[in-house]
Amino acid sequence: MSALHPTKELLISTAFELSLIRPLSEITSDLVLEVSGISKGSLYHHFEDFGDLMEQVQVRALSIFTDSQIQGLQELMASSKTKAEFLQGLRPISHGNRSPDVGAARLARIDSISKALSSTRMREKKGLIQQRITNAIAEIFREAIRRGWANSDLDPMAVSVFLQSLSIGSVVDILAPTQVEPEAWFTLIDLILSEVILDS
Amino acid sequence: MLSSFHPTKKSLIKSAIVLLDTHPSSEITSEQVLELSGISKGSLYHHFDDFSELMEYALVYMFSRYVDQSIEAFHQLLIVCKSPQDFLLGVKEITRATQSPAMRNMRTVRINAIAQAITNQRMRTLMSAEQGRLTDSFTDLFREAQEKGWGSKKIDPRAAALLVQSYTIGRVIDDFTPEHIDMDRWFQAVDLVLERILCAQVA
Repeated sequence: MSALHPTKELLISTAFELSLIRPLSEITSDLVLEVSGISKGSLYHHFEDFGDLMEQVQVRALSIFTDSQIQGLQELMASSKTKAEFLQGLRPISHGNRSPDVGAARLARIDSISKALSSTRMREKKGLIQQRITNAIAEIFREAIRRGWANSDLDPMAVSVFLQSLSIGSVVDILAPTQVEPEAWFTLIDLILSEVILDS
Repeated sequence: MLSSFHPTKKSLIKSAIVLLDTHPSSEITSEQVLELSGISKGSLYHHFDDFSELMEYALVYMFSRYVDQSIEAFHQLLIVCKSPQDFLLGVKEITRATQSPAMRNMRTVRINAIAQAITNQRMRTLMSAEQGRLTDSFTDLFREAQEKGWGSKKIDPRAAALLVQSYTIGRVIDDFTPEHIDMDRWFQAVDLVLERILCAQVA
């Protein structure tokens, strides 16, 4: 990130900060230019078009989200002294935040994945970030196996993709007219954690 | 989804689906759909507000058709199985079919349809009804499996319905990474969830 031209960086960070307080559909090039104080000519010097800028904002958001997730997992591993503590800390991460106000953010993740699947440029950028989180979660489970807290028969990479698939895939529930009871879902995830994944 | 529709409406949607198998939705024109279906322009606008609405129906149908195939397979399983062992084996086989690397394209189609429905309220309403129907169908099947003593009675049927749908589509996160997980190791993890969590314990 530090290698970016200061103007380019300011445009990305301005649009990124706007994306935290407004829906993406409301972020226009005029708004980004006004808030950043940068000229239209400079924007099109650094980006192919406004869509290109917004794609880079999505990549930035994904990267920041990924870093915070990885950091959270590493802190959990560092602070857990027992398997029980580890399981307890893993719960909120694997349950995912299911409060209704983050529904939009979870759907935005699907939009981001959709763009990664449809454009080669996005696939390369987002693929590397996704690989980073998949590897980091796998590394946590490798460490948990070393400590005797997780099922050593299972492949840490498969466990990593499985746990993430539950949080990504359960987005279909947001689309449905009625949602699964959060408590019923958490009970099920807890069972999977304690009886399959952390069954040592 | 299509069964209750007027034959002309159904035929238009089916023609759009045929085209969607080989073209991105943005490249399909109303002329192509009319030519393939042999239906008049007037009829199209009688059944749909506009051409986009027809395409939305086609995309939502593609979103649910793969899941409907699994639902049908589960339904058959409940009819033909004689024991919890048969059922567990059958469910594992269905899992292998729905999550084979060849189904990567299915995941892309479904994710793209969801992404499109996020910003398109008309399509979202359509997809919402379909998603509700899919979850209800899985829920009913799981409840039936529980009644036969083949599905674990400890699990809420709707949560089970969401679980199988979640890991099937959520696997998409492994589709755009430079490296991919080993499929045998993936099925090993899913099998263990089926054996220990979703299905009744078999000796």
